[in-house]
Amino acid sequence: MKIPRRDFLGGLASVGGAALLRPSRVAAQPQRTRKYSKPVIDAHFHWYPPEFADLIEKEGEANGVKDISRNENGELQATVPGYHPYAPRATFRHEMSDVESMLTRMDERGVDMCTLTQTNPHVLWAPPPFGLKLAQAINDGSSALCAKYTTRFTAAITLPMQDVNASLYELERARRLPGMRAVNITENILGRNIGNKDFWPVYAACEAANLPIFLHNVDPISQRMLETDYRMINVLGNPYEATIAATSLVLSGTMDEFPKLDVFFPHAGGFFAFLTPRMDWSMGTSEYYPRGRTSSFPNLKQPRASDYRRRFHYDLILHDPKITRMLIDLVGADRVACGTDFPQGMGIMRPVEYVEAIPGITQREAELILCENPARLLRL
Amino acid sequence: MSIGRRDFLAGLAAAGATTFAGSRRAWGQSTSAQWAAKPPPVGGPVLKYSKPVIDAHFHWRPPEFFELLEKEGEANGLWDIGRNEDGNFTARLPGYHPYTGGDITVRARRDPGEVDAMLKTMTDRRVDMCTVTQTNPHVIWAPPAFGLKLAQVINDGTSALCAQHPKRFTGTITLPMQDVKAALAELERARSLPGLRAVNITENISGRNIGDREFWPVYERCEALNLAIFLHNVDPIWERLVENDYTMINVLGNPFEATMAATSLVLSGAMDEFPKLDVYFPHSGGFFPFVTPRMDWSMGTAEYMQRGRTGSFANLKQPRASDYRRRFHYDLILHDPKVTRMLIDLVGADRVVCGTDFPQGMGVMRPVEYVEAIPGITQKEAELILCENPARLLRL
Repeated sequence: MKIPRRDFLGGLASVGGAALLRPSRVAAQPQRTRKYSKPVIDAHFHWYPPEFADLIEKEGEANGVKDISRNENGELQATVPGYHPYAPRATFRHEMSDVESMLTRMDERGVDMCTLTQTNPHVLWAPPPFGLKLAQAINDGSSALCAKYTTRFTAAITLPMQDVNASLYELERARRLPGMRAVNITENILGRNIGNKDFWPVYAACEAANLPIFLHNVDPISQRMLETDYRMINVLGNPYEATIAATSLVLSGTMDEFPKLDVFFPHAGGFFAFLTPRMDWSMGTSEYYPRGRTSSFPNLKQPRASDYRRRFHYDLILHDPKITRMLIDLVGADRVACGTDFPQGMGIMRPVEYVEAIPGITQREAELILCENPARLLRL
Repeated sequence: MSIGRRDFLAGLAAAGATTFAGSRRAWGQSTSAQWAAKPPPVGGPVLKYSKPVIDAHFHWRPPEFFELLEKEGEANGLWDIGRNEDGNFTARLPGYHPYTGGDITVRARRDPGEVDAMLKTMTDRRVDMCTVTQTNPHVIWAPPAFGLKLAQVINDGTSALCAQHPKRFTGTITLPMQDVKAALAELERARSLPGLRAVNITENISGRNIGDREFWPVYERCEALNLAIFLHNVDPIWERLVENDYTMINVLGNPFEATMAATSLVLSGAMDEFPKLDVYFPHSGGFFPFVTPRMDWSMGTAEYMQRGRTGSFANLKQPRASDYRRRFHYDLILHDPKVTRMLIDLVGADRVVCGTDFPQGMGVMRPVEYVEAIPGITQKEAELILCENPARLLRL
C-alpha cells in the first residue's frame, strides 16, 4: 500500500524526540541501572538559536529562500535554494530552540551536558556572505547559551564551508567565544567529498587549535534512494554518508597530513569500521591473509586502512546494543562516544539505558562511552 | 594529484575491479589463480568435509560470448573498437560505467587449457564445485535484442560446461532484465538446460532499484519454479565514489549496492509478495543485516526500545525490518573472519553461504581457510557454510 508523502514525513516527524518521552507513547522503556561519577555528555545534539530562524525569516528571501511561512504550530518553515531531497522543506521546530524544554529533556534522559551542533538545513546552501552571517548568528547564539549554562552546554563552531576563506575567518573569531569546543563540518560540502585538498586549510587550523571536528550529515548521498513509495535516504543515506566521509578522509591522505586531528562521526561512522578490511585486502595487508603491499592506495602512511579506525570516534546511533558491542570490538571502547542526534527522529532517545544494554558492558566501558570519551573529545 | 586513466584502471584492477575479460594471462597464470594456490599464512583448524564444498559465487564467460561481441558488438553499440598489443579485440560499452571505465578487452582466441586450469585452481582452493555467474559488464548495457542473444550464449555455454563436468560446475541463468518479457522467455528456455540451478540478476537494472514492481513477474516465476535469485553487483552506485586520485567505488560501492538491493526488495514489499523466494547476496549483503535496526526504530518496533508501530514502511507484513534478515543468504566477502562471525550472530549460520567472487581481485581466494578462521567456528557451522547452505540454495 502506497502511503502519501505527507503521511510518510508525518510518520518521520512522529518519531521526533520530545513526543517519545511522554509515557503514553512508550510501550516498553529500558531502565537505567548504574551511577556515574562524572557528567554524562551527549556530544551529538541539535538546536538552533532563535536568531538563526529570525535571520532566515528577515533576510532569507533576498538570499534565495522561498515560501517562508509559519505552520499550524507557529513554527517557521522555509524552502532553501538548491536540491535537498533529504529534507526538501526546513522546519524550525519549537523543541529545538526552547531552552527550558531542552533542559527538561536532558534531565529526563539522564544527560548532564549536551554539545550543540547543526543539522539540516545548515548554512551551506546560502550565498557565501549570508552563509557567514548565518554561521555567526548560530555561533554567537550557541555560545551565549553555553555561557548561561556552563555545566549543561558546550557547542561546536558552525562553518560556512562553501567559502573556505570565510570559514577560516569565522573559526578564528568563534573559537574564542565561551563554550566553543569543537568544529561542526558537514560530511559533504555541496556534493564534494571532505577529503578534498581545498578543505585542508580548515583541518590544519582545527588541528593547530586542538579542536575536534564533529561531522554531520547534511544532504546525504541520494542516488537511487528516493522511490515514490518508500525512501532509503535516511535509513541508508545517513550511514552511507558517514562511511564515505570517513573513507574520503583516509584515502585522500587527510588523516596522515593532520596526525593530531580528531574526528567524531554521527550514525556510528556508518559502516566504516566494518569495511576497512576490504581496503586492507586491496592493499595486500589484510590481517587474515597478508600478501605483501600492493599498489592500491599507495599514498597511505599506515599499512592498513583498518589502522585508521582508531583515529576516529563513533557515536551511538545503531539502534541495536548488540551491534554497538560489535563496533566496540572493532574500534575499542575508548573510541565510542555518547552522541544521539537528539531530538531528531532517528536519534537515540535514552542513551544511558542504550549503553547499559550493550551485551557484557562493564562499569568502566559505560563510563568511558557516556562520560570520558566525549569529555576528552571536547578537551574538558 | 591527477592520475592518468590507464594508471587509474590499473589501480582499479589492483583494487579488484575487473576490466571485462579479466587478465590477459591464461587462467592458470592469473594473479588470482596464484593467490588461490597458496593457503594464507595464519589460520584456524583444518577441517574435513563429508559433503562437497561449493563456491556459489564464481565467474566465467563462455568463449562464445566473446565471439559474439567481436562479431556483432559494433552493430549494437560498442565503440572505440580496436586491437591491443596482444591482438585482442578491445572496445568501449555504450552507457556510463564508472566502475569499470566502460572498457572491454575480448580474448581473441579460445584457450584450450582454460577449463583444466579452472579445475586445478578449484582443487588448490579445496573447492569441489563452483556456481558460474556473471559480473561486470553483464548483458544489461545492450539493446534488448542483443542482450537476449548474449544471455542465450552465456546460458548455453555455461550449461555445456556443467554437462561436461557435472560434479564440478553448476550455473545460473543470466537474464537480460532490460527487457522483462525477453527475460521471462529466456528463463523458460534456459531452465531446462543441464546444470542451471539458479537465476542471476543484477542488483540494479540500469539504475533502477530491483524492488520495482516492473520486475515482479520475474520474481514470481522464479518463486514458482523454486529457483533462487543470485544477485550480483553491476554498475554499482557511484555518486561521490570516484575521485581523481582514489576510488571508493569498489571498496564502498559494491557493499552499498548489495545493501540497497536488499533494502529495496524488503521495503517495496517484494519479499512479502513472494514468501518462498530465496535471494543470495554477494559482498555479504553489504550492511543490510547491520542496518535493519535503524529501520526497526523507524517502524517503532526496535527490539531494544519498542514504541508501538509507527506509520513508517506501513506496507511491511513483518513487524520488523530485521525479521527479513533470514529471508536472504549472504556470502563470504568481508575479508575479516571476525566480521563474518558478527554476521553469523545477526543472521544465523544457516544463512551464510560460501561464495567468493573468484577470480575477481576483491574475491576471497581461499574460502575454506577463511571459514576455518572464523572465531569459534564449529565443524557443524563450517559444513553448513561451505557445503549445505550453497547446496540448499542450488536445490542439490
